Amino acid sequence: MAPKGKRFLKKPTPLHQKTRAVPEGCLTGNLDHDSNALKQLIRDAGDLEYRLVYTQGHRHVALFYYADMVNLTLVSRGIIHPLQQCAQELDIAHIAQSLLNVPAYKQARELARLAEALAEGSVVLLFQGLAEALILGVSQIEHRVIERSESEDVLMGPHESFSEQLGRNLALMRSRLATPAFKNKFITLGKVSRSKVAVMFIDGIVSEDLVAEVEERLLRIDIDYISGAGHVSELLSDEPTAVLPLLRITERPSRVAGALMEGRVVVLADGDPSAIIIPTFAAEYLQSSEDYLERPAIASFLRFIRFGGLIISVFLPGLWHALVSFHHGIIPPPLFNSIVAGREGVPLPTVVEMIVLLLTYDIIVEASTRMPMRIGQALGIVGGIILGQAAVQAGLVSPAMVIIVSLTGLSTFTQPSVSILGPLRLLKYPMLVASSIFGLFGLMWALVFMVLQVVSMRSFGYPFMYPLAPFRWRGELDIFIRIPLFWLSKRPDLLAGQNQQRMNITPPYPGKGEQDGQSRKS
Amino acid sequence: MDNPVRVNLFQGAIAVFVVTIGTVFFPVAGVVVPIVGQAGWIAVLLGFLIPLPWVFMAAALVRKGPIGEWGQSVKAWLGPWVGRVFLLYIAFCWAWLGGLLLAQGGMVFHNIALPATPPWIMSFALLILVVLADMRGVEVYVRSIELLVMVCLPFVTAFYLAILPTMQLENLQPLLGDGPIRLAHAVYLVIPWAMEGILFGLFIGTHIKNNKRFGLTISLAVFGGGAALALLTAFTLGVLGRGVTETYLYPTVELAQTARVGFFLQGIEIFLYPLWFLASYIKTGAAFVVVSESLRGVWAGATQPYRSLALGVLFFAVSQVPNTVQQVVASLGRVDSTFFMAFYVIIPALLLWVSIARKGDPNQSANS
Amino acid sequence: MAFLVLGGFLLCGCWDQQEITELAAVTGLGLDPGSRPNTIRMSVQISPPSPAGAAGGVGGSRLRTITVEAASLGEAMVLLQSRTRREPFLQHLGYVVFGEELAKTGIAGVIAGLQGSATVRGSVSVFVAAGTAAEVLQAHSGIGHTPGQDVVDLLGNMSNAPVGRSVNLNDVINTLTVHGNELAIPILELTPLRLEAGDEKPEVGVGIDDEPYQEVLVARTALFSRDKWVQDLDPYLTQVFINLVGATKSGTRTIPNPVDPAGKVVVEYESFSTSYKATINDSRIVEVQLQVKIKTRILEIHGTYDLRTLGFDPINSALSQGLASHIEELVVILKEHQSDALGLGQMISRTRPKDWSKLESDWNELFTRTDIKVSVSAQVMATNVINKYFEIKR
Repeated sequence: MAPKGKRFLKKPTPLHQKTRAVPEGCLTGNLDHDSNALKQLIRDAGDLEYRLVYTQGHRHVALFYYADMVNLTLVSRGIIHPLQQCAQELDIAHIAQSLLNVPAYKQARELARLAEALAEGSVVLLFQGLAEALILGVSQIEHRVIERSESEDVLMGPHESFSEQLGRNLALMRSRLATPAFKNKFITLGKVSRSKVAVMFIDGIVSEDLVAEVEERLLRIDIDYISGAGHVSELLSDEPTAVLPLLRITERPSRVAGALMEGRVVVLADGDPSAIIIPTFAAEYLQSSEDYLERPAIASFLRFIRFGGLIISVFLPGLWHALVSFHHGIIPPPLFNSIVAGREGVPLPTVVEMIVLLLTYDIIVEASTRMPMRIGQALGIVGGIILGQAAVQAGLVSPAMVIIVSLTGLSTFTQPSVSILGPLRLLKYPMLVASSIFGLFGLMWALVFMVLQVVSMRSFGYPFMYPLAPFRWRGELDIFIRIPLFWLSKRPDLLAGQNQQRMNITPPYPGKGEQDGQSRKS
Repeated sequence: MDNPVRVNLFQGAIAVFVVTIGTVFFPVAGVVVPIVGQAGWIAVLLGFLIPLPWVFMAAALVRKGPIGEWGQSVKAWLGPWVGRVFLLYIAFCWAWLGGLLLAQGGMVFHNIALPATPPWIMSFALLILVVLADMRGVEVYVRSIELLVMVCLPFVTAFYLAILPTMQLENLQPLLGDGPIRLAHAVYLVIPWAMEGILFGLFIGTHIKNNKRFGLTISLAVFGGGAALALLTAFTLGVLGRGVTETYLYPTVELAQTARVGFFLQGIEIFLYPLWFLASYIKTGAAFVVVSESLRGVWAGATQPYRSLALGVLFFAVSQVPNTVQQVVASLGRVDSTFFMAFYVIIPALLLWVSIARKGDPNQSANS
Repeated sequence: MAFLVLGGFLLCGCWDQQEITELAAVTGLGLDPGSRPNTIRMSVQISPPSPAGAAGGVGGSRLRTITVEAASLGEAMVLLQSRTRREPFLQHLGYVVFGEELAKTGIAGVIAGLQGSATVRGSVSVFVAAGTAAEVLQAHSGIGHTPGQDVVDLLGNMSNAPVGRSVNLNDVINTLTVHGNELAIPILELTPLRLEAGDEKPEVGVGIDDEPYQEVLVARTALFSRDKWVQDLDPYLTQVFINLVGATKSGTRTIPNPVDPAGKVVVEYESFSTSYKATINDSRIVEVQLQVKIKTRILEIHGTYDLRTLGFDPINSALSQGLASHIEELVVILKEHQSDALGLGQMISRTRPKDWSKLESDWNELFTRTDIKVSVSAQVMATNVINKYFEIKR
C-alpha cells in the first residue's frame, strides 16, 4: 500500500459506541417525560411529526416519525387504527406481534437509538407506563426508478442500471443470480451518514482471502460521511494517488453479475448507483459488454478500433511533435511540403501551438459536458468547427495541427468506460512534454516510465496489467480480439483458483452435433 | 494475498531472449562481416549454437540451489564466503558492461537522431528508468520487459516487412569465401554475447518456481535470440552488400536509412529508434538488476533506495569514461572477450565443484 | 517553479528541437569541379513549398538552385548556410548528379564526403550529367509535383522502361570497394531549348530566374573504370546493357522483316533471362559462355509476312542474330575500356571463390583478355490476335 494512502485508513474505531455515548438516558415510562426528552434530543427538526393516540384501553401512545419518509397509509391503517381499536392491556411484544399490521419492528429503550431509527425512516411508538419503545419499519422514501445507464449506455443487451436504493439494487442482483451461493455482507460506514455498504460475492468461486481483505479495508475506513461507493473506492485503492482507476466503477447489474461470476468481489453502497468491482485489471477498460453479443469478427474489429483510439489519444500529439520538430527526415517529402506550407506564418512554436489547441479542445469538452443536452450540442459545433476554422484562417494555428488535435480528441471517446476518459485526457500532456524535450527518445522514455508504473500497480494485490504481464495467452488474446466464447471456457486463473471451469462446450458444438446425429440416423 | 505471482518460466524465457538480443542487434553485422564476409550470419548462428551446452550446465546449477533469491542461491552453491567473492566478481563484470551500455545508449541516439543533445543527458534519462526499475524489484523489471516486448513486436515486424522487398539474395554469395579460420574468428567474437544471455538466465533461474523444463526453455530463448540476430545479419548483407556493411559501425542504422519502399515509407528508421531505446533499457536494466541483487547477496545491509541510488552513481560514472562510440564499442568488446568469456570456464567448474561438494546432501536438489 | 522551468524548456526548444519551417528541403545535389584546382562546386536544388492556399500545381512551383565553391563537400555544406535563409535539409535528398568533368577525373573523393554526411541516405540515386551538374539541376519540365520531384519521378519510370539502370549511393560504394564489377551510371541530359527567335516566352512554368522549361532526359549510360567515367553507351546499347544486367526485363526491338527486306518487325520482350558460365584455364584465361533467352511478343509487322505459313522461326533466328551482334558490340566496348560493368568478375567470385582468389588482383587486365561467347535464343510467344498483317496493294 502506498504510504500516502495510510492517512485515510486509520485503525478501526468502534463507531457505534461513539455515537451512543453522546445523549445519555433511556426511557423512563413516563410518556410526557419521554416524549419531551426525545423532542429535546431531536430539536430543530421541522419535519418531525408527533401524534398522540388514545387506545380504547385508555393507554396513551405517542407516535413519532418524519413526514415523507414513511408510508402514511400504512401508518394510519396498520398502526393508528389498530391502536385506537385496542381495548386490552397488552405487553409490548404482543402489541407488535398481534395488534399492529406492519412488516418489521424492533424494540429499544435508548433515546439515541430511537433518534437513529427515526432518521432511517421508521415510526417510533412510545407507551405510557412502558420503559420500552417500538420501532416500526414502515419507511417509504421516494427514489428514482430503474433507468437506462447514462454513462455506460449500450446498444444491445441489458439496459437497466442500478438506482440509489441499496435494497432494490440487491434485488436486481438476486434476480440475475438466483442462487444461495450469492452472498452479501453488510457493513455500516460513516459516523454521521451511517450508510449501509454491501460486500457481494459468490461462494465457491471467490477467493476467501479476497473477501476478508475487502472487509478489513472497509472497516479500516474511519470517516464521517460517504456519498457512495465511488467515494469509497479511492479509500479502498492500493494507490489512491494513481492516475489510472485501479478499481472499476460500474452501474450496470449485468456487468456486476459478470464480475461476480469471475470470482470478484463487488461493493455497493446505499445512496449511490455505482458499484466497485474488486479487483480490476487494466485490460477490462477496453472491453465492452456488447462485445460478447456481437459476432467475434465484428467485435474484434471494434476492439481494434478502440485499442487504436487508446494509442492515438495518448501518443499522437507527442509523436506528431517529435516528427515535426525533431525527426523531419522521416516525414515523406510531399507531406513535408504541405506541413511547411500550412505552418508558414503561424507565430507560435509547434509545442505551444499544440498545447494551446489541446487545452482549447479540453475546455470545449468540459464546457459541453456540463451543459444541458441542447446547449451542449451548440457548444460543440461552435467550439469544434467554427473556432477551428477561424483559427486556421486567422493564421493562428496550422491546419495539420487542427486535424491532429481533433483526431486525438475523438479517439479519446472511443473508450467504452467513462472512468478511463479522464486519465486518457490527462496523459497526452506529459507525453507531449517528454517528446518536446527529447523527441522520439523522450516519447519512448515516457512510455517505459509509464510501463514501469502500470506494471508495478496492484489492484487489491492482483497485478493490474494481469493478462499482459504476467502473460496469459488466452487472456491476452481476448484483449486485442474478441475470441469465440468456447475458448473462454475457463475463468481468469488468478481470480478463481479452485473453480476454473466456466462451461463445457468443446467442438463439435451443440447444434452441429445434432445435425450429425440426425444424418447418421436417417 | 500480498503477491500472487512471482517470476514464471515464460517470463524468464522472454527476459532471457530479449536480453540476449539486447543492444547487440545494432553492431552485430558490423562486427562479423568485416571478418568473414557473407558468412557472417552463419558465424552468428554458430556463435549461439555452440554455447547451448552451457545453458544446460546453468540449468543444472539452478536446480542445486534454493529458489527465491540470487544471492542465497550462490551462497548455497559456494558457501557464504566464496559465494560472496563470486557475487562480487559477477557484479564487477556486469557493472562494467552496464555502464558501457548506458554510455552506448545515449551516444547512439546522439549520433543517429539527436546530434545536438549531449549524450550524457540521454544516458542519465535512461539511468533514471533503470534505477526506478531496480527499486521496484526483479519482478517488476521482468514484467516490464514482458509488456515492452509486446510494444516491440509491431515495430520489429514492420521493420522486417519494410526491408524484405529491398533484399537481394545474390549479395549473400559466396557463402564461405573467406575460409573456416576466419569463420572461427568471427564465431569467437560472437560467443561472449551468448554468455551474457546465459548468465542472465542463470540469474533469473534462481527466481523461478517451477524450473523443470528450465534448461530447454532457456536454451530455446538464447538460441532464438541468436537466430534473430543471424537473420538480421543476413538481411543487412542482402540489402546493403558486403562493401557497405563493412564500412559502418552500426550497419542496422544504415539498413533502416537505406531501405526505401515505395514513396511513402522512406523513413524506416522510425521503427528503429523505439527498438534501440527499449533494447538499451532492457539490457542496461538487466545489468543493473544483476549487480544490485549480487550486492544484496554480499551485504544484506544494502537496503533498497540507497542501493539503487549508489549503483546509479557508479553506472553513471562508468558511462562517462569513454568519449566516443568507437571507444565504447572497443571497451564492450574487451569486457566481453575477457570477463564474459571467462564464464565458459567458470560455469562448468562451478557445476563440478557444486556436484562434488553437495553429493552427500540430497535435500538441496529435492527442493525443486 | 516547475511550471516556469517547463515553460522555459517548451519555449526555447531543447537542443535538437527545430521548427519545420526553419528548414529548406534539398531535393537535388549537383557536384562539379571548382574554378580553382582541388575545389568542388556544389549546387543544391531547393524547392520552397507553395504558400498556403495555393493549389500545388504547375503555376505554384518555384525552384532555386544555389551554387557554392569549396575545398570539400563538408566545407561546402557550411558555406551553403551563408547562402540560404533557412537551414538546408538533406534527408529528403532524392538524387545526386556528378558533372561530366568531375566524373571523368574521378568521383571517389566526393563519394567519401557523401558517405560521411550523416543526413544523406544510402538510397539516394546517383546520376552523371552531360555537361555540368548545375545546369541539369536548374532544368525542370513543370510536370512533377514540385520541380525537384522531376528527376525522382523520372527515376520511378526507369524501372518500367529500359532507359537506364537506377544506381544508388550504396551501390556505388559497393562497386567501388569490391573487385569484379564496375559502375554504369545513367546520364542526365538536357533537351535543347525549343525557343526560337521571335518566340514569346511561355506564360506558365517560368522559373524564378525567368528561364523557360528545359527537360531532363535519361537515355545513355556512362561506363566507369574504377571511379572514372571512360565511355558512354548510346541509347541502343544502353537498352541491351540494362536487359543483360537484369535491371528490367522489358524492352522492344526492331529487326528487318526476314522475308521482305523493305519491311520490319517490331517485338516486345516478355522475358529476358541471362546466364553465365565461366571456365578458367591454367594461364588464367577466362572463357565465359553468355547465354540469353528471350521470350517476345510481336507488336507490328511491316511488309509481307504470313504467320500462318511461315510460323515464327524466321523471326526467331533474325532476333537472335540481331541481339547477339549487339551484345558482342557491347562486350567489345567494355573490354576496350577495361570496364567490367556486367559484373562478370563478381559472378565468378560468387560461384567459384577459390578460382577468383587467383584472378582478383589484376582482374581489369584479365577482363580485356576474357573470351566471351554469346549465344542468344529468341522465341516469339504471342502475336496478340492477328494472323496476317495487312499489305498495301501494289
